[in-house]
Amino acid sequence: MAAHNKPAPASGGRGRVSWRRFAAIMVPAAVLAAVLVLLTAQSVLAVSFSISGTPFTVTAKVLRGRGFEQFGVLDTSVLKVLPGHSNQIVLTANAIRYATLSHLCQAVTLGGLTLRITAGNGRVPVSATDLVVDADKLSGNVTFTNVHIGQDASTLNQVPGVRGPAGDFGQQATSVVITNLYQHAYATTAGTFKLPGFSLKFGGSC
Amino acid sequence: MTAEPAEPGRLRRARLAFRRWRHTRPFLGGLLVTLGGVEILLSERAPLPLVIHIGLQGLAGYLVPLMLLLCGLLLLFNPVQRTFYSLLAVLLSLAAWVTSNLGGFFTGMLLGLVGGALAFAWVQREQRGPAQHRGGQNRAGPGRAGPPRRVRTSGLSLVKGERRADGPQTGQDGADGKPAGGSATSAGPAASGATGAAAWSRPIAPLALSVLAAVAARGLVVAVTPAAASAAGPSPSPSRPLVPAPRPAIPGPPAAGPPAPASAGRPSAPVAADRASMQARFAVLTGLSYDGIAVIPVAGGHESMLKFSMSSLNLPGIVLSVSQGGHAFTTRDSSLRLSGDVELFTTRLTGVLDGIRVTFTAADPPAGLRPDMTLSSVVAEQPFATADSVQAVGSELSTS
Repeated sequence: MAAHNKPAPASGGRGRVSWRRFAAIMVPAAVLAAVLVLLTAQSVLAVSFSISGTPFTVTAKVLRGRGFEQFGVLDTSVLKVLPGHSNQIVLTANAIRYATLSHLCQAVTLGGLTLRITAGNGRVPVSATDLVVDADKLSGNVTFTNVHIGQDASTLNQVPGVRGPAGDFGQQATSVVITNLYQHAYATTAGTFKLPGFSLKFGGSC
Repeated sequence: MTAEPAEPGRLRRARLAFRRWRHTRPFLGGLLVTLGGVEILLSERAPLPLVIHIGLQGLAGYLVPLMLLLCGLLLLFNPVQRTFYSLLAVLLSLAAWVTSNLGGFFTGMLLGLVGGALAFAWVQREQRGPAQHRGGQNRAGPGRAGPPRRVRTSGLSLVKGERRADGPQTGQDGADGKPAGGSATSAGPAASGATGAAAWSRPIAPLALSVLAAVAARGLVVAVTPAAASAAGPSPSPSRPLVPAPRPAIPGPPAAGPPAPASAGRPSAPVAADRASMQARFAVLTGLSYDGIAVIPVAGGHESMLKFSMSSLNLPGIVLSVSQGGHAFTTRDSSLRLSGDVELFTTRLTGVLDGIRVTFTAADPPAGLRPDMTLSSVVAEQPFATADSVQAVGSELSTS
């Protein structure tokens, strides 16, 4: 190819992109990427989430969770993306050890561009483990079982490893069902997230 | 080279130097990979405690894009090993789909894939000049100028040996092109040998990357296995099965509390010390009994609390507000119903009972309560409540 018709000038060491080599690696990589996306949409592959510092909304028709905790947290953002004057915001940490969500919709705005993820619209709901959402607004119709309201947040034990500061107001329940869930959140993490019928679109809102 | 003497001065020299630097390495590829790593990291920024709580998977969420970033930088500053770094970058970009927010919502993954492929596709077409020597000296000593060069070409030849850049500089195309840097003999075997030599000559970066890769791979495995395992049933955290803690069995807080004087038992869990209050338009209590006063250890002291138990508690128009260091969070429910073994501890309960305002505190405990009654304009301070079941209709939580 092009490499052969170029006499070597004095400067040396320069290079160029061989498009055949590019294709040789890009094609299999693209195929693998497509397979990953497909496996995610088939909910064979679980993905992991952690978002922070960018407000986003999550809605779901029904959330069913086993192991629920809620307590207040003071989140500090590195970037001044929070509303108002401060870079601190009080949020409620909502942790669920194992959750299924039907008709999940999650909209994140990154640099002016809104990304909307929907999943679980079919028969199989989205499932997540170790889901922690730091939200400033949360609404829905909620049913708890075996609930403790007003427990010291440092003694919560429904979601292993997730605890609040000592003395803080917390609540927990062994199970939770929330219908018409709406969350406005600033941070979320999930150990594994299975997204059947996954689709990622630009624009729109939940 | 092609320098026109029109624009003299440092600026131009710097520009030329930068161009030369750019042209002697897979610049675009390295740049895209770096950007991809940064984008994925920016999409995360989760608080570290949460990440650690998730464990290896959460950590992989950071490790993978960090390694991608590292690969991008190394492609720029240590292009000798570009084959390794670029392939690793491609793999890491793919891994980021699973570990890191769908590869930074696809964008960072795409950048990493294209960048990695570009870097991999970058071939050197000219003899190495003094400029290259400079580049080589970045890390290795001056004496290393020879071997790295041969490595560069042999790295390429590992993949597509037959159609490599033209003969003069490489000495790998089967023909002993040039005895460039020393004792290399013939092409095929020399290729792997030289790579090995390179790995030894500059072991740290690749080694560190390999170790990181191994760690991240373990994270990946952990992330993937639950997917496979859950076919059998959703058992997310193998360590802790779901056991609905039998409430009365939870031991009280250790030590701390003096023996509770008055009858009433301890609450089934330590009580929060935050200022909290529960207000409701009405409280409909059924099967009520007043159990006495409990001295309850809270963070930083003790509280004397009234203990009530009942079979159900209906609270229409309830507002639960908690203040915490100058901030507050508030839950409003259009109705809240607690049922089944309801226990309510509170430091102070006020309300209007049969048209009379009543206030109950530890100093002024209630007497002769009816088992079923309705209080209006109820306020309970420092509430701690447990129940078998709670239903909240139209629940709205907000913070300020």
